[in-house]
Amino acid sequence: MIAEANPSTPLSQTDPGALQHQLAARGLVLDLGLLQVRIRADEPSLAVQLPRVYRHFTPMGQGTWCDAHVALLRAQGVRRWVRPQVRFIADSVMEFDPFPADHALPLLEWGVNWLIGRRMNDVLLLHAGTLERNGRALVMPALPGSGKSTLSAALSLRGWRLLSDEFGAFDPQAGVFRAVLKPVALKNQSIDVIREFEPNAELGPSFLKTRKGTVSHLAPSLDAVLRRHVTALPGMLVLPRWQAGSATVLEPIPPQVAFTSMAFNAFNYAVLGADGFRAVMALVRAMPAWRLEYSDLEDATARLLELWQHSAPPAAALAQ
Amino acid sequence: MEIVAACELVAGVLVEPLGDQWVAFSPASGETHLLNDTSAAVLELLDDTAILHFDHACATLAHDTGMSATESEPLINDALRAFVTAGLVRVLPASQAQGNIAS
Repeated sequence: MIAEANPSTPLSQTDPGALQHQLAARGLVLDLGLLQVRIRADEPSLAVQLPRVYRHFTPMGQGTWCDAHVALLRAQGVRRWVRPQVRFIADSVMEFDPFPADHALPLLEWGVNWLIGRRMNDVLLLHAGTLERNGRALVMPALPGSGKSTLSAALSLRGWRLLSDEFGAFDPQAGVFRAVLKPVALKNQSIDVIREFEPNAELGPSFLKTRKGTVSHLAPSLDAVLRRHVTALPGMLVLPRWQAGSATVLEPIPPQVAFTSMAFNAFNYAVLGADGFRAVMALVRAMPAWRLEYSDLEDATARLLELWQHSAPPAAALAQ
Repeated sequence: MEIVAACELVAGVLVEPLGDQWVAFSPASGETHLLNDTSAAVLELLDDTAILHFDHACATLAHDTGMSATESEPLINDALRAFVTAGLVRVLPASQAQGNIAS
C-alpha cells in the first residue's frame, strides 16, 4: 500500500509518488481560505506541477468539508495514446474542452476560478487583485490585460500579503475581505518581468501555447498561506493600467468611477441583487479610490506603498 | 407624448448619492443606473409616500428653479418615462392617482 500525502507536510516536501496515488484515489483537499477544494486526477504530471505552485499548502484531512469537487481525468479512446488530453470535471460534469495532458495545472487553475466565480455567492466577488497590509485590503479591480496580476505578484514580493490575484472576496456581513489564495497566473511577458523584478520568485513551470499564450504561476508565500483565514478591512481601491513607457501616475478618481469599476466588473453583482448594491456602496464609502498608470514595476510598487502610508485609513478607525 | 400623471417608487428601489451623481438599484429589473443631477432632482420630488404627481412636480420645479411650465413639463415627463423603463417607478392608475391627490 502506498502512503498518502501527510497532512502536516507541505506539498513541496511531499513524495510525488504518494501525492500521485492520493490524487488518483481519494483526492487531495486544499484549503484556499474562502473555500476548500477536493482535487482528483489520474494525470500524473499534476503530481509534479501542483507542489511547485502550492508548495506551502499542507493537504487537509479526508473528512474535511469541501465546497467544490473537481477532477482532472485523462481523455479516453485514441486520445489516451495520440496527443493525450486531460478533461476538467466538476461534480461529474465536464465543463470545458479538454487540454493537452501536460497542461493539467493551467486547466485546474482556470477551472477552479470558474467554479469560484459561479458558486461563492455568500460574498461579493469582485474581479480584482487583492492584497493586505496592516490589516487593510488594497483592491485592484481591472479588466484582463490591465496588469493587475503582474502588479499583484510584484506587491506580494514586496511585503504585501496576497489574498488573491483574481478575486476581491468581500464578506458584506462581516465587512471584510477574505483570501481566495491560489497561485498568481502570469502570462507572456509578465513572467519575465516578475523573474527580473524578483529573481527568487517561486515560479512554477511555464506552459506554452495555452489559450492565453505562455502561462506560469507564482506560488503564494508561506506567510500568505499560513494567514489565509485572516481577513482584511477595506483599505484602498486602485485601478491599475500598464502602459508601455508611461511614467507612474497616481490620481484620485470620483466615487462613481469607483462604483462602476467594482459593480460592473464583479462576478456576482447581479446575482446578489440589492445586497450586492449595498456592498459596493459600502466599499465606495470605505475606500479612497485612485487610478494608477505605470510601466516601471519597481517605481509603481514604491509609489503605491507611499500612497498607502499617507492615504489609506487606519484599520482601527475602520473597525469602529 | 402622453403625460405620466402620477407614479410611485417601486418597492425596494435603492437610491444613493455618489459624488456628483446618484446611483439607483431596481430590484424589479436587477439593474443599476447612474443618474445625473436632473434625474436625481426629479426623484427627489417624490413625496413622503414615495408618490409623485406630475402637476405638483412641475409646480415645485418651477418654483425652485424659475423654469417655465413649457421647460419643466417635458423634462419631468422624459425623466419619469426613463424611470418607468428602468424599473425605478411605476405609473399609478388614474383612479389611484386622483385618490391620492384628494387625500
